[in-house]
Amino acid sequence: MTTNCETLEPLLARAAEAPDAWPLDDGERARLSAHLTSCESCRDALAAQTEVRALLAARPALDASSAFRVRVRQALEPEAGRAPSLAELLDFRRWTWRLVPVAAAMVVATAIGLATPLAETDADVVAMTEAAAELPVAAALYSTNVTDESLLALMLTASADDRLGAVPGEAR
Amino acid sequence: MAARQRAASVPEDPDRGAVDRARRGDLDTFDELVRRYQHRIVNFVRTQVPRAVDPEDVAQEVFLRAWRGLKTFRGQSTFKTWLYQVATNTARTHFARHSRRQEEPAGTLAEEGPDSPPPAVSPEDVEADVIRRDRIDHALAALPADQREIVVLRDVEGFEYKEIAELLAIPIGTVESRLFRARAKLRRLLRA
Repeated sequence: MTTNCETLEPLLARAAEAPDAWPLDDGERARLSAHLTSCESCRDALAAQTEVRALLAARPALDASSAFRVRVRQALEPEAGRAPSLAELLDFRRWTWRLVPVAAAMVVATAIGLATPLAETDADVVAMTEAAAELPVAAALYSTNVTDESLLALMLTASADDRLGAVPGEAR
Repeated sequence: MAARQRAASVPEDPDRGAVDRARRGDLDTFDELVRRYQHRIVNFVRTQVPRAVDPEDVAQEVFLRAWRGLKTFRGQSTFKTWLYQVATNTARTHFARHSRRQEEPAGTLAEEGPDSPPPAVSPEDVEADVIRRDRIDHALAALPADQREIVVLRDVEGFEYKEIAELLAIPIGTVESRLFRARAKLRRLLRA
């Protein structure tokens, strides 16, 4: 076979599957037909392909024994009832897809959180300040607006029941 | 758009409903899938593993792997194509294991190569079918594994070129070339 013949091997393989009606497109059929008129080697090759295909298609099948299905079932039953192994639990393909809704929910929650500022208006700030005024004096310990001297005075003079809003010295 | 195109390219899968139920742990439904494919898988495995290996042992392993791997089956091919992929990989494993034990080069079932006589047929094995199948399988055993897989998938199992290419993850042109060479070699072996 020449190099040109080798390029026709795929077409010969296909043509062998329907000798009377090659399953090729028009261009392939014309190309192969033209080549076969002058190439005995390829004609022999096509005959060989056709013969072997027919032999294989007629090969008597080997069936599974009557006991095969039962033995497969018996082998599977312990698998069906067992808990997943550590290797299976760590198999990312088993749990990755299940985390997709969780990941999506987290993305949405983050997007909502970033889009919602803590205080948007002066009214919000006033409300927050008024609320802070109702806090017990001990809350001053957590405030960044209180100087050390003011905080010391507050701790020494105020009682536990006093509210921040009623105690002088607390910066607003 | 790409997803629609992918979905459109997967043929209608007659096993889809059963696979979905089996994937959820329904062993009875998986048993039905075994019933549908047991003969084909045993027959296919017979052509791919050494004669010393029991094809039903390998076929059982195929179904065991398929049961375990069902959760990773995404339906991008038909269940049949995927099952044969599992069978091909399982047969390759057994082939390699057998080759290591026999210390023979990988690729052919060398202990049954063209220089060795066909397997002896006992006086009881007079059925023409058995003799004919054994003769063909003996020749198949002499092919390189990549050619043997393709010629059996196409000419014995009836897979389309596109399915074989997908199953073996090779281009369609490679399928065609290897198929041509496999048949050509088989012709020489069967006439020897």
